[in-house]
Amino acid sequence: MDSKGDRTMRRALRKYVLLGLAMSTAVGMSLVGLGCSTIPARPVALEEARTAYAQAQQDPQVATNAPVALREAEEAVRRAEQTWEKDKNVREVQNLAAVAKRRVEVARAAAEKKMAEDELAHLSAERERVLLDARTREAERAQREADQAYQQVRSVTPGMR
Amino acid sequence: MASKKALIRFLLLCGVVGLSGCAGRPPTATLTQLSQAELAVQQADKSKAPEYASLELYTAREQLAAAQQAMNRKDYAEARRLAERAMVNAQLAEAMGEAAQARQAATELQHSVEDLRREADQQALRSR
Repeated sequence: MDSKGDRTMRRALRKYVLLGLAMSTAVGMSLVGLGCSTIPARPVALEEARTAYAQAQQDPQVATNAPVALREAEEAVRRAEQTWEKDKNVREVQNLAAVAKRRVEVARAAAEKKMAEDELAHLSAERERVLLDARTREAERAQREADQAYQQVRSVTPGMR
Repeated sequence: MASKKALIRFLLLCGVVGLSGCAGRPPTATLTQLSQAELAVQQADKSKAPEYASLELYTAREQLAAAQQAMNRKDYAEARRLAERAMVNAQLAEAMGEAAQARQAATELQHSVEDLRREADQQALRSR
């Protein structure tokens, strides 16, 4: 009687243990499967770099004043994208994306420099023109005064014609 | 028998030499990137960057120092990444410095032209 109950209990216990083992194995396997199939999330920095580049490219001031720096920024973005497509190395891609974002800023600074230099050239020409005008006016005034003085001298000097 | 022992010894030696070679020498890409970063920071230091883009220059210096630390603990991939960041930040600092300098020169010239024009106008009034 005692041994029979014992045996039934042992059998039930074994059943539970087996069931538990099977379940945990299944859960474990599915977790492993999940881990394998999960592609690391696309880094936010990559999207940010792409957006920053697109904005700079659409900015006519950057596109016309810093084409070379803009091309370098484009290449940096492409390098980050390609590295992501190739081996999904998040750390590497985040770094390349940060580099690309900086390249876009370099292009913006280069455009700003070019525009300021153009303005500088324009202002230099303007300054020359203002100076020349003033000098011409000064010369005309001197001429006029000299003429007046001459006329005055002539009118008071009897022998002069 | 003796030759077999010698062969094993030779193979072991090869393995040790190979491994030490692996561990000891930083990759060329890292060394190149690091020297480029050093150069870029030096160049930015000599430019107008300290005056106009001190934050970017500071960031570049910090990243270069971090790259050198990564180098010392033989984390060559991290050293290469940090060195590239340092390089591009140094270049940005330089570009920003140049832009700010040109902008300032343009503003000064603008004022100077305005002054000249005002003077010329007054002169024209006087001479009339």
